[in-house]
Amino acid sequence: MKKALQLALGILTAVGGFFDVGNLATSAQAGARFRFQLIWSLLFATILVIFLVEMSGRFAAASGKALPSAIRDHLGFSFWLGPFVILTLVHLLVLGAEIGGISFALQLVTGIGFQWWAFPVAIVIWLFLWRATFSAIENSTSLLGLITVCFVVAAFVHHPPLHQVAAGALPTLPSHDGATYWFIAVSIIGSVIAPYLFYFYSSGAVEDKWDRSYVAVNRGISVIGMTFGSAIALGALVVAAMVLAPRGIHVSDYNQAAAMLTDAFPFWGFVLFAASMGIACLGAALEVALSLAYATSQTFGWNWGEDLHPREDARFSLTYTVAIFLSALIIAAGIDPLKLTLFTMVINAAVLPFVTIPFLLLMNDRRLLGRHCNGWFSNAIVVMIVIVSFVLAVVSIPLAFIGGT
Amino acid sequence: MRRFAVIGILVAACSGQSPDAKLAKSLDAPASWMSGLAMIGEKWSANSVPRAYVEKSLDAAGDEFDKTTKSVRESDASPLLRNAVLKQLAAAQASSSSMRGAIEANDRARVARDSRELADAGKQLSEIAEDAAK
Amino acid sequence: MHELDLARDVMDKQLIDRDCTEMGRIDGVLLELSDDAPPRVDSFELGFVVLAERVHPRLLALLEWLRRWSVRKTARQIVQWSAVEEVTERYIKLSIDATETPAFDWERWLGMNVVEHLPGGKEEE
Repeated sequence: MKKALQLALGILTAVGGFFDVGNLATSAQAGARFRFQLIWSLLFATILVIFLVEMSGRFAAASGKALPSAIRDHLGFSFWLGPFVILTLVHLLVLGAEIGGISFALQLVTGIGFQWWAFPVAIVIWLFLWRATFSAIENSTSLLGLITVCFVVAAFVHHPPLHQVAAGALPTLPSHDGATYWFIAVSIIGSVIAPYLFYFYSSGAVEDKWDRSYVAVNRGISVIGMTFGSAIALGALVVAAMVLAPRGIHVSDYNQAAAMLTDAFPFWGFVLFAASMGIACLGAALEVALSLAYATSQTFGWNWGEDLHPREDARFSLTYTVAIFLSALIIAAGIDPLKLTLFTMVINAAVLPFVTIPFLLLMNDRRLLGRHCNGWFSNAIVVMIVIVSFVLAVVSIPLAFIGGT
Repeated sequence: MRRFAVIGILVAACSGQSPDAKLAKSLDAPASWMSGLAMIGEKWSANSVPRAYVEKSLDAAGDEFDKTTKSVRESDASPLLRNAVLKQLAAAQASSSSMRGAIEANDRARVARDSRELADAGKQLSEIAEDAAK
Repeated sequence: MHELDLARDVMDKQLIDRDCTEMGRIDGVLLELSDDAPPRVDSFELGFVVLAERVHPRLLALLEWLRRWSVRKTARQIVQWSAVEEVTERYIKLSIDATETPAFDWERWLGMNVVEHLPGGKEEE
């Protein structure tokens, strides 16, 4: 019975935690520019992320270790230092993009410029982490995060041509703007397979004291949670395709996307958009900031835990404190939040090899995982992800220069 | 090393574009803004979005129009293309400043008219860009 | 007595003290060499400087230079192998109190000088 509750709660968390600024920005752009043609990249990325999240949860449940911790344990410090530094920098950018999303949502409702909101938002994020426990954060943001389901509802209200939506599930070559097409495809993949997800999920499993009995629960959470989460991103894509594309709006600025729900909900649409954006980004900002602190503390073996009082893990608490304010600086400097988001999502895709290769090595350590090691099928999937992520790493950087908007 | 080579080739490919094609590529953002403003104005007339949001959008769009106007003037593209683009940009600037005044005066009919003009300018600018890119 | 793989089971392993407080990781292992006996694990080291040494001499130089601002008393904390109580897959447990050692110098300093001064940083309970 307790496991069923855990499963439900976990799924809720996964759905609420899935959708963030990256999904919103990339889905809106994909739908606005290419209508349903890029749905395949969302589906493809979702399948990959289900496998990776399932593995990071199974790993934590079977070994009692979170990922950053295990990488240093088994692959050594010299192996881990480079990826650790690069991923930390990327996470600062992601955190900046999320803070930008919250600040922009506040600009929508108040009319006060987003850059003025960066530090007030940073203080709120920090206070949340400083005062609340892990489960309080997890449960409140995921419950509130369900507001993003409004994108799915809006998608149904528009009665999209289902055969075209289905046709978009198969990859096709673009008829126009090839570089932009691939840029958005890569940024969708980067937004779905965000590296912080695996640190957060596996560290959360350790915080929640998962053991081997959770392997089945974990499978349910990752498959159902990620699928529903991605349905929200798909909803946003469909709405953009139905509302923005026919009008010739390409979303070169968040403002151009903000009215996209008002066709479906004339009165509430605008507020729903701002609320969805603000809450989804707040949830994600908390997760990214925690992931950064988890990874740092685990790498150096410091005492860590969101349930401890900041006095009991000063280094852990101050790591997220510094990270939040550094990231807020990017937004306070007035950098366009949408451009920052799209750029960061492509970088997310480019650093995927640093996440996936350690995965492949760790998931096959029989002494660590026993019978919960990867089977040949999971290994084949990870090998494919490693190859795809290498290709993405090579193509995404030039794409960021020529395909960016 | 290979990655840098790929970047090099792609950058070279980009800089090898004709001035007309290059200009056409830079028209995406202003055209998107014209269509965007048209929708935002229309939604304001229908009471679906707040005034502060429309004003913020007008500011951001205005900056984009100014930036594009400047780069079009400095571009090496054919005068024919440049004039056609400048004409649409001027029309959009006129409509958006009219929209700003109309919103202040709470004149919904005028905002609706400005929205239609902006939608028109956006459509024409996209067509110009498409032709020039060929 | 079962076998211990030095690189796999000892190096980089999480250390916990007698109260199960995390106290860092094994950043370096020191062996005792003698002519008439096989090498023997004598002790291990903890500290950023030890880590830097493993990566690059220049990083080591940088860290040694940065140490002028460090609140940590000793750059290399040496723990005798005899202090080891238990070795498991997840951690190595020591019989000492970590909070009294240099591994906690920074933690203690930050707690007293930074966390205490932030709102909600004082212990209320």
